[in-house]
Amino acid sequence: MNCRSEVLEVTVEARQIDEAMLALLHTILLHRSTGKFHYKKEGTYSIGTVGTADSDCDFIDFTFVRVSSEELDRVIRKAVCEFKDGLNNSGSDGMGQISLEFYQKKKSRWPFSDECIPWEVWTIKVNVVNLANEQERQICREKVGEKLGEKVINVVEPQRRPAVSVQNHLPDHRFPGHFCEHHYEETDQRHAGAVRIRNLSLY
Amino acid sequence: MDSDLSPQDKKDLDKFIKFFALKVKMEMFVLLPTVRHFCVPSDFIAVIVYEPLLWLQTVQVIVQARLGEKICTRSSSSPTGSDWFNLAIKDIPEVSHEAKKALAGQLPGIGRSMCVEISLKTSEGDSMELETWCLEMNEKCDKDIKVSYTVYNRLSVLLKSLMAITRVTPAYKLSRKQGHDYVILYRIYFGEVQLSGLGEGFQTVRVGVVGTPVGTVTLSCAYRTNLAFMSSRQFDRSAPILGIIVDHFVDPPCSSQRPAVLGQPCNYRAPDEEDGGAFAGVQDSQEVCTTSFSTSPPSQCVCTLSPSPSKMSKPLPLDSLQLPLAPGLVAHNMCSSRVSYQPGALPGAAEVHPTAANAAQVLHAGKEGGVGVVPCQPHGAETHLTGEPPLNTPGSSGDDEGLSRSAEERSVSPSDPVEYLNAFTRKVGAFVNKPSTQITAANLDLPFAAFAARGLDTEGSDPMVQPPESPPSQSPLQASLHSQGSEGSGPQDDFVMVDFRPAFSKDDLLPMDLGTFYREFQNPPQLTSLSLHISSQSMADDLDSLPEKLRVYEKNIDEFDAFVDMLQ
Repeated sequence: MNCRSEVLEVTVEARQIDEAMLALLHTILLHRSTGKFHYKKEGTYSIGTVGTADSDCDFIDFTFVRVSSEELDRVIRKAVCEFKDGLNNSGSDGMGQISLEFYQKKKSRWPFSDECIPWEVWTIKVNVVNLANEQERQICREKVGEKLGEKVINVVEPQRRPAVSVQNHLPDHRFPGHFCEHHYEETDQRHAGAVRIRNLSLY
Repeated sequence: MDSDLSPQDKKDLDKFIKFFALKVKMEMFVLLPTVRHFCVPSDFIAVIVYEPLLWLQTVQVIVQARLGEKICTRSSSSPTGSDWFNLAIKDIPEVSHEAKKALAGQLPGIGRSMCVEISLKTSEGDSMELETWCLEMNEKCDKDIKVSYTVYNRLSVLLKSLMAITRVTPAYKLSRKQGHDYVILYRIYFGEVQLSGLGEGFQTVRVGVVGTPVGTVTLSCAYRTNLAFMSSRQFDRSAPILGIIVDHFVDPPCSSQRPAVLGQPCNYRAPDEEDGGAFAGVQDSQEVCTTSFSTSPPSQCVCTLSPSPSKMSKPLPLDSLQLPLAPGLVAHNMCSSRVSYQPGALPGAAEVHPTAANAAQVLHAGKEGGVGVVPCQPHGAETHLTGEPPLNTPGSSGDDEGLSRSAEERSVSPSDPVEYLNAFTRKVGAFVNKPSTQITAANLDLPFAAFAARGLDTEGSDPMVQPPESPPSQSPLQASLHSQGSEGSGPQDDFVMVDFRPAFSKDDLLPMDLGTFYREFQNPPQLTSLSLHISSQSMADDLDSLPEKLRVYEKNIDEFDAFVDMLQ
């Protein structure tokens, strides 16, 4: 199966890294999140409702919509924080990238381990700049807000294309992938979907 | 066919349609999640049910994104009957009502696009289209697609994309800042999308495309990029009386002629029992006091408060603004500075933001001479706001404390306006060079009294009548502007410009740059009319004649009222 790959590039100031990453990651996850599946008898199921919440950025003139889930927000923030710390400590000239990967976990029989098949990867490349004065910071605040808006539009555009189906026998309701176990009752481990965030190279 | 039906039959037909739609909706809800036992009506009917729901949910998302507030809804593990497309979207009854009204009982379909227009309207009545969201369907069908889940899921993703995009367009930031100066309106219409009002260079963004067995649904947005506001009046305003500036919070007199195409305001209020109905939010918006206090000097603007003679059942809320007035002043100003408007009841028209009107406050001078704050009377009652201008502070525009009194004046009995006026001491503006020693900094409530110049002259050196002498200049123009009657001390610079390099300044006509020009004409010569012997005489005459004038005006109050009514 071919994995769909999307790359987003942003140029931000150091204090804007968190919010820029959160905005993009939450926007992606909003489109890839579904309600909780409740399986009933006779193979029927119902799907829960996804709530949304607006989040204002403090250092960027931007507001993004995220899934109304504190646990999800916590996980994303933790990953972004680790990325930011790695970026600051790596000694690099302020460039790095973070990836959000949607994969399907295929359980294999013993002695083979489970197979993770990514079907979509979002890579966000970050370029950190240093600004000299407050005026430049104010300009950067507005510019980054506009750029993030363009990136959100870039995130939305691929949603028009149908999701890639891993195998024909998989029911279509398994896509898009489910984030974290709390959104999905794993009655059938073979079809479990998962997401992971990977901090890739800091260069 | 509709024309042959009686009103009762039409009502019955509407009820039947709603019942049938609800029945199908319930069946779809129950049977939708079923994968193997999917025995609902055909996919065609399913799409027929989804389409109007999609239309309504799209309108809700767009309008709620322009309310000016952060939206937050809770996730739920168990779906409810109202959570369509697995999304928690709040349902605002007024918005649904407007959408259904625009639908006019017909189902949207191929060639019949639904458009939601978002516009901005200022408190002065100017409006500007910001963006237009268009949901349309074409004939390109995807017959192989499963409506049961695939289309439903993709429509859900479409709505999520809509939520994300609505926070990205420029109108979102404007809607978050709406308030006293402007409000955001929405309008729903069907048919061809109208983009001419978006100005030049508008941008378009496609939110999403979903194929269905009956057609392809496309949701897109066209938004204005040039937000420079063009002040194009949509109506003619009546010329102000004697050139008085009309307060910009006052509705124009021709408001009743304003077309109703401006739309509904994007300011949702939860239905409340006190508001008296599901559409109280919309109805109240049409019954708002139209005037408020002006920040300009009272002599330049007088506002009359006249709520629309409609169904207001409670007095309008008052702002906490306290406008101090000299007690005992009669609550009628000179005829020349009085403007009166009365708003018309506009069917479905836009409103000034309620908080702008809430800034209105009424002061009513009682017969006893006291001044009190009273709620404005409904049903056509009028009260008048007046105030005496600060007598020597033309620079203190917008200063509501311009009529505040010094410590000496407070000892005067408030019951006698004449004595009060005689005891009224002239006040000096904050940025006047040489205040008179009769008015010391300790007595005045000068904002920057501590920075007032020291070593004031003792006699007759009121800078309002005797400004400092202009500095000597080598410019050939200076001689023609210099007045022979100018008196006063030498030039006093309030500040020193070390290096003045104004941007884009280029003067090819005169052999000087802008900085030199500014320095030379920083202290202009004294005007003849402001010379001491002339101005003091005229001012004294004015003060002496003021009580008499007030008596005359009070005597003729009925004529003034009749004049105001005539204007209305």
